[in-house]
Amino acid sequence: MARLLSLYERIRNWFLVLIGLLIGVQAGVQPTNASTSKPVPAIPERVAAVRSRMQEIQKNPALVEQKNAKGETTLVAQWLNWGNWNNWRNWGNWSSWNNWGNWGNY
Amino acid sequence: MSAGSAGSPCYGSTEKGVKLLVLQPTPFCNIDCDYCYLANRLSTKKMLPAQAVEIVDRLFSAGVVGSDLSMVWHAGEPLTLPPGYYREAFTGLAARRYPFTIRHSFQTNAMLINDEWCDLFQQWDINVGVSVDGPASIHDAHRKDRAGKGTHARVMEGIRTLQRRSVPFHAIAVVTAESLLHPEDVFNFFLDTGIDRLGFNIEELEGANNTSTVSGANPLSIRRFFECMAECQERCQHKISIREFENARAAIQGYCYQPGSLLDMRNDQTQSMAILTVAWDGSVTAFSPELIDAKSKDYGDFILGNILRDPIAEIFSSPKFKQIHNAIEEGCKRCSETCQYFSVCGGGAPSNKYFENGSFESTETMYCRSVVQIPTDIMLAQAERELGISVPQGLPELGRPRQDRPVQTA
Repeated sequence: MARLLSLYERIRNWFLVLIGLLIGVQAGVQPTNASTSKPVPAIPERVAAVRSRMQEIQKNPALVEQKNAKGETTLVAQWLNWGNWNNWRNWGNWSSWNNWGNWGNY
Repeated sequence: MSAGSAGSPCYGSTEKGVKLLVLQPTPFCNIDCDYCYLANRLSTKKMLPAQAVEIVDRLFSAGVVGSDLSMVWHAGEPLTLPPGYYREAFTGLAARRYPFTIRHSFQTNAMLINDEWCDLFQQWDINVGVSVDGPASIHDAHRKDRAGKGTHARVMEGIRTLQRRSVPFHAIAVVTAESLLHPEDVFNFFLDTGIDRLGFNIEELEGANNTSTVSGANPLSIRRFFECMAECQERCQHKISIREFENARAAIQGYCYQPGSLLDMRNDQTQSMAILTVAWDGSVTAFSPELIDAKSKDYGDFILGNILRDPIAEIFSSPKFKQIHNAIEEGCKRCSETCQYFSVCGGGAPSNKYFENGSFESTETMYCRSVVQIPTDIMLAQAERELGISVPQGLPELGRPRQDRPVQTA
């Protein structure tokens, strides 16, 4: 009986050690700030953020007309310019027939 | 304001009807690029100029043309027909006084360009695209004549003639395994040549071209290629506009149709009649122009009828058209359900889906990854940086693909 109890205790102890190890390993692979880090936004959310920012910029003429110290158009203004469809017309037909976007391997 | 009242349809225009008419005046090509997808490029058959006019007449009578029509003269090599051929066709079309504007475009290897061609380009305000892959070492690896000699020197003569005559043009370069190894050389070639509008077509598995030097390349190399283009573009202060980046910017911004109107991308290749492609004999296909010359185990071919013979309504209500259309719609639906890039793409390129994945109902292709996803990733990161949007934490470092995916099939 004493032998059986001893064997039981050994098995229990090993089992507890094993559980402890598993918990430790699990904790080791989790980043410490896991609870605070944000998930990576998906492409649609990032696209929505850009569109929203573009609209904000459009409503703010000061930003649009801003020049840098060298008198060059700022990147913000540049993006607005890219977003202006009238500018797209300067591409003439090119942008339109390349909406197909793919000439194959011509 | 409609796109029509303001000029040519804009990128992603919501206007319905035929917007792009690709005509093949002849399948013949004077050179023999090893990646060409056209099987019949030795054939010297040709469409008559009057037939080109008749095709537009039929579309107009059927009421399927919007307010603007782009006509792309795509062969073979369109300049293997004489300038007089086009003069006759253009004059015939102009005499019709259609209530829509027509803009003509040529995509040419430039080898036959001379002053007479420049006269025609200028007189008719032709939109000219030159196919040139970069410096001679890269271009001549694939773009050869029938004697197996490189064509670069002769292409450059044509380019110099265009420049001497101040004819505006853009270039389209096929990106092959050689280009991927030397991206900076490719960019510098175009910069040094004075070309300021550039498009890249990744060598694709399409039609007669059933192998691609790029498909075996490291998937990162295409991303690195486009990243290098973006860096070079910034370094030279955007002296060169790159079509893939322009398209990505416009799609990200959602600007379409009119300022302030934000729309998701409308993809003409997935619309039933936005793009029509007509072969020299009047055979017509829709959706992707590359389907014109392709054979298929499922459909036989992709010819929907003969536009010179069959009523337009009949062509677009045929069981074959419906079968293809339904399959493409199903593919788009699956894209919309599974692809993060759907709002900036609109459903990919049907021809690539078919040739790469074996079905229009499939989703992602090499074309999607290289022409839509990578430029979108690069431009999105650029927008976030330049517009002061906080860059999301945990994004993969620019240059790493989101994940390597196996080719999907339906």
